[in-house]
Amino acid sequence: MKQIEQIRRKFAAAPQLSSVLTICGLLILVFLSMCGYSESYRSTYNITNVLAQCAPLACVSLGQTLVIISGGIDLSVGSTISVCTAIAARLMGGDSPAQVALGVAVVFLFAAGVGLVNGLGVNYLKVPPMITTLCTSTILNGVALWILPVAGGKINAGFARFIYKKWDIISMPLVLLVLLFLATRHLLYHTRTGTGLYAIGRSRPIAQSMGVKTRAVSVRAYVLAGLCAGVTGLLLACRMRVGDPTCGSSYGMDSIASAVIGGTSLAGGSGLLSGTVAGAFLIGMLSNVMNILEINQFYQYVMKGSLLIAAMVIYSISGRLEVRRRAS
Amino acid sequence: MRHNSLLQRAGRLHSLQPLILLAIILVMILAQSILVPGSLTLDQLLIISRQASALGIIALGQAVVILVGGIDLSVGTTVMMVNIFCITGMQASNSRVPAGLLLCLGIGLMIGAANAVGVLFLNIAPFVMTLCTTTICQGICYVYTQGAPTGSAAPFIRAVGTGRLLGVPYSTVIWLGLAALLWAVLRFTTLGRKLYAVGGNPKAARLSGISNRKLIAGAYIFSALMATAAGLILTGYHNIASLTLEGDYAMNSLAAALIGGNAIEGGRGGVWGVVLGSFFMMLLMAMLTMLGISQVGKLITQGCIILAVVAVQQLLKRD
Repeated sequence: MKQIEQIRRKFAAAPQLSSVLTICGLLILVFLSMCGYSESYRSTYNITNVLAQCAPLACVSLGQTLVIISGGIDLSVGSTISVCTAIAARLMGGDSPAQVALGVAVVFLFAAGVGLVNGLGVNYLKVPPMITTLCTSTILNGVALWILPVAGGKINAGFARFIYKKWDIISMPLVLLVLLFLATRHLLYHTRTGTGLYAIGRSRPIAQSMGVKTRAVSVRAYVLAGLCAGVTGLLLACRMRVGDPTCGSSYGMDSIASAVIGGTSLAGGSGLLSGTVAGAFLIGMLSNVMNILEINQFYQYVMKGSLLIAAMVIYSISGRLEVRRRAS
Repeated sequence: MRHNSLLQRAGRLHSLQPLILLAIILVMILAQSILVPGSLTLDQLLIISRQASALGIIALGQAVVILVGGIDLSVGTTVMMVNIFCITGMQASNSRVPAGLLLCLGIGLMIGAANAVGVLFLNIAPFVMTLCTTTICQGICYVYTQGAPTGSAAPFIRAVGTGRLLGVPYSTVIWLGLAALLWAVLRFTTLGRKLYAVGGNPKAARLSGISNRKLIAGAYIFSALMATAAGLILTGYHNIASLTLEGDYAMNSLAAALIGGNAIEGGRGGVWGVVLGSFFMMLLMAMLTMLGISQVGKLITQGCIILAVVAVQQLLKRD
């Protein structure tokens, strides 16, 4: 009984939790019905692949969620990913471990630098987040083309294999995602920075008067978003084993969509990381499902949009029921 | 009386940002005449204004949606869809123009209404809803054309896209006409006052008897119709059906509206800032092309300059 009471209290503390559960339920529903439908879907090979394929989007969405919770938005993550793959392809072709380590370090330094520029632009130049990140996105598109005019370069094969190592159903990208999730989770729920992020998302003036260092906290969110994009960039580069100056372009919008599907409000101040991961898996799984069902590539656009709308509708209905239940 | 003084104060704050933008545009034009001597002519500015007109018209719609606190990412795809269906609907003959125009109008209304229904009745965040309509419309275009659109525009549409009235391109005239109309509506009618109210404080607006839903739905439909108009103009200008015509209109129109001093939270902004913002974006691109800068350099300079412009505006606004 005591445990049930505890669970109930947890629900009351985080109203989005029930919505997250809705999305998770939807995810499991899609998954189970596909397992029932298709022989090839049930195979361990496919399930491992699906999980590994969804990991890059989930990684970048975690960072995006931090920024959105702090009341901002980061449209530049897609271009950051592209530049990261380009850098990785330029630097990590060699065989020596030192060279690979150097490449990884440069990628993360660059990604953090992009985040820092975004954070400084938003907080010190007072440029609205959407404009700042749109501008850095444009600049980074240029930088990506400058580093690598066409898709190419090379990633050290051993490193790429290591990043995509698989043990039965568990794969390295999944492990990395879990580690990143735990790290961001700790940061968001158990540190002062995390509390500060929620506070400045709700109301900056109030947070400031309560002694939150609003600028520093916000800058940290952008830097973390950049780092998460760096992780995604490395994952993509290792998957393709080449760099591609345009490969990240869809990740900007998709990461925002997965955060919002997961229950994070674009107004800032509320959201959960678990919802974001569920949202990212939902988006990633939909395209996989449509490939398995052999739906025409062109129809996939229509399906993806409609399914996202359907997910959001289920979500808003469950939210409304929740509100009504609480009111009564 | 107090009400009037409040309005005036709000007006002063709004008018500052477009003025800074105007000054920046003048500086850029001056810089161009120094960097590339003899390139600065009235005709060149008119050509840039024609290029800016499509973006400008879209940005007008985007500005209204932003004003009521929403965001419309589907404008680019609306342009693409209108382009494709306008060309197949008219079959390059003037006699089918009315039917084609009706078809395009229908598409615009449908997209706008879909956005409005999603945002207002299904309670989906505008960002996600318009993103979904974007994906769906893209899919419809791909399926319809099987990835390879063909055909050319009807002579009438071509005339609208390329013709000139006393030397001024028709598209510029349409753009500025629509802008003036929107300005008059926002400035002098209760409808305009209500739009600001809904964006500024939705709860207060509802309590004072404004039907928020109607206004917000109207804003999305207006935005889609503006994108439709821009799609027709672009079709006439380019004279081809293309799956890449959407370009970056969603992001660029957003940038143009925000550069012009409209607030993304809604409730603040004007029309002329948006017009100048669109012109600024196109002038910048035209200048970079004229200076012979490569694609890489263009992207980098463009990003830096837009960032700098907005930063300068913010710095000056605070004083």
